[in-house]
Amino acid sequence: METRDKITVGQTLKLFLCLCFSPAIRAIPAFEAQFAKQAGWVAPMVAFLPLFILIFTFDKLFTAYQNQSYTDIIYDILGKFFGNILLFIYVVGLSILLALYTRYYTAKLSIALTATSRMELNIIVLMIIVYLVLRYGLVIMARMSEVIFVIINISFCIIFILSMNNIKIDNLIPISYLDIIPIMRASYPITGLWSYFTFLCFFADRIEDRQNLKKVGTKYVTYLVISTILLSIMVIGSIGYSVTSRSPIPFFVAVKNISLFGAIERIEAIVVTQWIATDFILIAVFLYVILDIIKRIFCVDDIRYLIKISLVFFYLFSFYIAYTIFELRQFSIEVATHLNFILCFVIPIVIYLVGKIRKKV
Amino acid sequence: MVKFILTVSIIYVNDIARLIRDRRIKDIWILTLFTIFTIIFGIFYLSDPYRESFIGKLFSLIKEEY
Amino acid sequence: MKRQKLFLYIILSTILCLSGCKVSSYFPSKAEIENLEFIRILGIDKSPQNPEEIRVTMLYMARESQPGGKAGGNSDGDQKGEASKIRTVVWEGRTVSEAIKGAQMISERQIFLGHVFAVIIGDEAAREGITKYIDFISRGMELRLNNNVYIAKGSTAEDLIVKSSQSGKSLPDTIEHFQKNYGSTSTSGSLKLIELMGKLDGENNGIFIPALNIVAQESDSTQGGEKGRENIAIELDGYGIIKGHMLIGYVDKQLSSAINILNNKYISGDIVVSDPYGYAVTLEVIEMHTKKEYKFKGDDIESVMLNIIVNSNVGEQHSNKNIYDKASLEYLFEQQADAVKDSVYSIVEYAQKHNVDVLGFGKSLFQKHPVKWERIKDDWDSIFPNLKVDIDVKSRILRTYDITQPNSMEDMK
Repeated sequence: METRDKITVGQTLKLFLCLCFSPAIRAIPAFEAQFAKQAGWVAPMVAFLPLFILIFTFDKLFTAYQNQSYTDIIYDILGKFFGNILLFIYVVGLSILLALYTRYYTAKLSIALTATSRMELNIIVLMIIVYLVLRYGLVIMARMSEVIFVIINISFCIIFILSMNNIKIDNLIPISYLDIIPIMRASYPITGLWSYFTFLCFFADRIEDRQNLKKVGTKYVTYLVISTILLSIMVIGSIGYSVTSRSPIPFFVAVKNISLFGAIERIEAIVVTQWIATDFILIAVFLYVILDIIKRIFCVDDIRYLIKISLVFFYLFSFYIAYTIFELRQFSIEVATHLNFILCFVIPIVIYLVGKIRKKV
Repeated sequence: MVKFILTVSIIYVNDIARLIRDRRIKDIWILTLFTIFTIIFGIFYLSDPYRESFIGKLFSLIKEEY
Repeated sequence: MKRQKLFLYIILSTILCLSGCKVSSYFPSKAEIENLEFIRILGIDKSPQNPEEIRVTMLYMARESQPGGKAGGNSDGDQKGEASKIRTVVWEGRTVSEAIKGAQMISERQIFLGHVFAVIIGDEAAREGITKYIDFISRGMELRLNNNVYIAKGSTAEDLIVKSSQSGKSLPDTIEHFQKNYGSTSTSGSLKLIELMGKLDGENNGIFIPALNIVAQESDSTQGGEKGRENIAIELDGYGIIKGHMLIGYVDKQLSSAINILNNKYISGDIVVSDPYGYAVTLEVIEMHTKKEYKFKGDDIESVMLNIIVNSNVGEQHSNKNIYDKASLEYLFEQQADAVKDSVYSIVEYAQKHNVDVLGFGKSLFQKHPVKWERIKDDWDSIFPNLKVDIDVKSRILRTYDITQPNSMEDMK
């Protein structure tokens, strides 16, 4: 957005893992339980492959286009006119997703903590913190994500260990060939969520060691898959697939059930902290990407003056986008899943193929 | 509504002042455009906060129910 | 930097001060801990006077300064010691939520459900259908999903809670003891709300919920000059059987322990058999494991073989003979096996007669043979009652305790 300060591939991937965490703890176990029932915990293994394909695709693109971002690649392969149209579509899609996640953020807090209090203050505080971070740019955001990444992973490990007592193998089996299609169906929304990696490629020109993307990316993606599988095992194993599929916040419900020796219990405050931190990263990254794209569309050097006004817009849009959790949930299942998949998985691959045909890659 | 317009105005004035000082004409136009868009959207939403939501409208367009 | 901060303060104060709403509505409602009434046990019944309504009984521990008595219209009885701190609130409403909120208006403090650890459903309410009575607690607004669920056998939850609090015993402590120590006899069990929710979602599950029973005992000690006054105890007495979502009946302790055997929930317990000389011997079970094997003919299920392994220790013998020779031990093995077989056959007969799969056959069939289960699950209601069940019990007595031969054994003299 403003500076030529660069971040590393490792920081980028930590940003990616942080922003995947929030939808992961809300939506992934619910989707898995809904489509694949007790076998849902296997779905991340299937979603692994498309994510790998995506990373390899971007690795190839970045090899061909040194020191350039995804925006530059789009412009070069599709041309200015179609490139601007596609970028505009990305801006609209990202805006919808940003408003959706902002709304989910407050909805989760309402369900978990403060059912009767108003949501406005939660969003305003979040927006103010996003503003304070975005002012200083990508490097600060990346450094914050490194700290948050460590915190959420340590806390997740602790929660998983504490919940092992509640995990019942009976809730996770059987797995047979009858579950193949359901598992693939369950992996589709996960693929869409993990494809948010594409959004980080919009500032790839500020990633300094992109040649390590494949190597470092493989490690982080493997970690992502393993942690998602553990998350699914924990949730579906503890509370069963039928309750998981019916719950808007299944991970929270599973953590509420943790009770070790009657002494270690009621630790769901940790989950709330995880939510808030990862939602903050997700919203900050999405907004950063939106403004970065706008900067490229309008061909300006610095777009920081738009941070505040865009936060006001998204504050209002997050209220307008939905009134009830039922609308949000249905939108996630019927629209957002496909939006994620098309914008973040299909389009980059199409661009790569078009680039190949036009001999630019 | 008053609160909203006051907030947006304060933000706009604060940002535009810096841009005017630096004589960034293009940026002034972009900021003004976005501010007008935000104000229009804000007036649209705040004139009836209980109108059908974006998702509700989208679902009725694609004939989806929940 | 200072201008940015000033700017932020202006925005924030504009937003907050010009708000038409109370600032407190943005924050979660709070209460000081001394203003909260921590409900420990929640009882849910159908209202006896008005069948459309639900009666909720809430038990809490009063503070030292609170006067005696109970709100809600029931008479109080003698309360002694620790139990004198026990209070109950009873209220009615069209829904559980309405009843609890109604009770807020007669309570001295704000009712807080976050520390409820047991929910008792009344007999009549369970017979009508438990799903409507547990919907509120399933949503987990303040309550947790790892609460224990019980059924009040043959009575209302209110009766059970009120009578137990009048008897001088602490019902929360009693239930906590049951929850931790039911395994000493395995004649009942423990069921968490989250497990019940999962079972209710299953199509072919029979559900068994631990039952609590009011037992009147003659008091044989003199208390304040009154001899033989009735003393109430709460007993963990078998299971209530739920089919669909309605209570269809209760099974006694023997059948309940057989349910635990077949569902691999049997932890420990005693089997009393006769030795070759006709005297009683207590065998303390230390291991009980059931494996189900299904025989198919094509896609049709023919029979199920229950392979039960039971290992025990000799806990007590009444004869003064040496029963530790090979022949006597093998006799005891057989007696033990027969005792297990009898109780298992009884519960199989009960379950098939009522067509309620509390034996875990459907669930284990699904886990072992998911493909075959997919083909037969829709006909399970017609298959299960006619399913042939064979039982094979491998029974062993492994050891005894500090002494082997009994005191004053005949051959020793």
